[in-house]
Amino acid sequence: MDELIFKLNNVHFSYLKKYPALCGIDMQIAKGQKIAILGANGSGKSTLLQLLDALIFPDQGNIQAFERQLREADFNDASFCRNFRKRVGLVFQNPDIQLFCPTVKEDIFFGPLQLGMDRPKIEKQVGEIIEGLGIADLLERSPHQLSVGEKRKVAIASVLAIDPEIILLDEPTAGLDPQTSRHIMDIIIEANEKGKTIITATHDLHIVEEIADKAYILSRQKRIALSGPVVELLSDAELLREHNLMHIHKHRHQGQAHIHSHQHLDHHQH
Amino acid sequence: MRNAFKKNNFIEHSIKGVLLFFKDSVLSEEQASYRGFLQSIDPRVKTITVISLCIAVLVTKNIYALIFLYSFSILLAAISKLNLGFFLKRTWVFIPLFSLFIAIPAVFSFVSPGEALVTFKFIGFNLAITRQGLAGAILFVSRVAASVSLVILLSLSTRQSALLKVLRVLKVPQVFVMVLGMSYRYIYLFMEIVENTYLGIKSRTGALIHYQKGQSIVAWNIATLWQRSFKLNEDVYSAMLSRGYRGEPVLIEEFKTTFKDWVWICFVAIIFIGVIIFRNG
Repeated sequence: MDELIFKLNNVHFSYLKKYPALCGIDMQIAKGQKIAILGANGSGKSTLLQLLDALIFPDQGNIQAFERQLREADFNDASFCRNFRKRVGLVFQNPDIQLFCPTVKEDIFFGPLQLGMDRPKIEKQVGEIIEGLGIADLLERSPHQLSVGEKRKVAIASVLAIDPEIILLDEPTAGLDPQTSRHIMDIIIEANEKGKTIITATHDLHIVEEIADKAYILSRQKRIALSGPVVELLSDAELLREHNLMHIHKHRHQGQAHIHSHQHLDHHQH
Repeated sequence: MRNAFKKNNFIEHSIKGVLLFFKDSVLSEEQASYRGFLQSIDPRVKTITVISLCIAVLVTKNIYALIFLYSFSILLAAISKLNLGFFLKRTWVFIPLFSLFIAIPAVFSFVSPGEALVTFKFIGFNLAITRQGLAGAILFVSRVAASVSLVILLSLSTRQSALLKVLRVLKVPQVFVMVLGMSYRYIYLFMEIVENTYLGIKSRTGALIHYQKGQSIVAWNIATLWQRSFKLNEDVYSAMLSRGYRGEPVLIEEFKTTFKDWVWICFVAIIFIGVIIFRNG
């Protein structure tokens, strides 16, 4: 196996010490992998990403990142904190949370400036990202003036600007039109091709096969129900139905309505 | 009973009024991006020169100087391609608020004794408008008109984000500037939430609600908004930590002065000195 980046051993987390969000998670993620964390709403996907980004810490069990255990106290050490934040970036599900500066440009520059990166390096890196995402005309605008798709692109840009080794994405295509969704998937795939490790939490099965090689399915019991290659997991209809990732509905094929299980793996004609 | 229902319009009008005010603010951001004269001046230079002109307004007792400065602000609005109607409307909303209510009692003899210009009876009392009182009130209103116009000119011709950066140049601590910027950023988000919540309530309850029910809806709305703002506060802080924030923000500094800025500084300095020299009329 390639160099391990994250190793989770029996991780438990609960909100307010009484609402369990994750129970006994074991996971190993290697450098350069494309991982999908699948699960229905409320299965703990976002919580897991926040644990991986060391924004919250386990109640029980431990998380190792880059062969070192993540402990809250370690983040009081400025150089450790800066090093970790430089290596791991999280794109939040709600871009309004992530875009808190008065202008798009300030938001994109925020991360690199906090992390003490050189101004010429930031300028060069941000220039390339802005060009790649096609958001040059948004730079002087306030985030509240942007559409959902534009906000999402800027949120991704704000993380890419840090140039992290690991990118965590929380529902990156939720609520987007097909074209914007495709653009964001291309960005994720391109980042992986450049050697970045991609961990995406989603319940959108359209995108999983392209943005992940391996998937973990979180159950309603907040545990990992199954993990394995994406192709294998997606072919198990019973498993997907059990975890609310596939549904039964009525639709038309060539003028005839019928009912069957449907996982929407590709965009076919209804 | 009908009146109780009619009063519900108060809630709707209040929400619409507040939203309209914020949409006006967005419109003023648009005006700040026009290619006009003031928009082309460096925000630092613009802010400092406007503050200098406001100081000149405050120290002068010369009514002609005040009229000149007020006219100058309108001229600047025109060459900055600002919407003059919008500019004057904004200015004259604040002038009565800050001056007329204070100035009106000052024209009468019981506040400013002196030579009576007009005398009349009001509810059995003899009232007189004095020359000194009238002159003082005109001077006061002119000062307010000129300074409010200058400040509104600055706010309309400059993006909020640039004004925040100017605060940093003026050595206001970065953390205050950041909090101000974030407040401005999230007001819009909360306004959207309020608007959508109100529409959601209206779609379920219909247009007419008893005013008591309306009051409880507003109270409930305020409570949920507070809860949401608390959650948002936690989430935004996490997002900041995730990108390396450690309690002292580092922000972009990017201002450049040009020859035009220096010409403008000299021009304002001449006006400032002129007003100071002729301050006593």
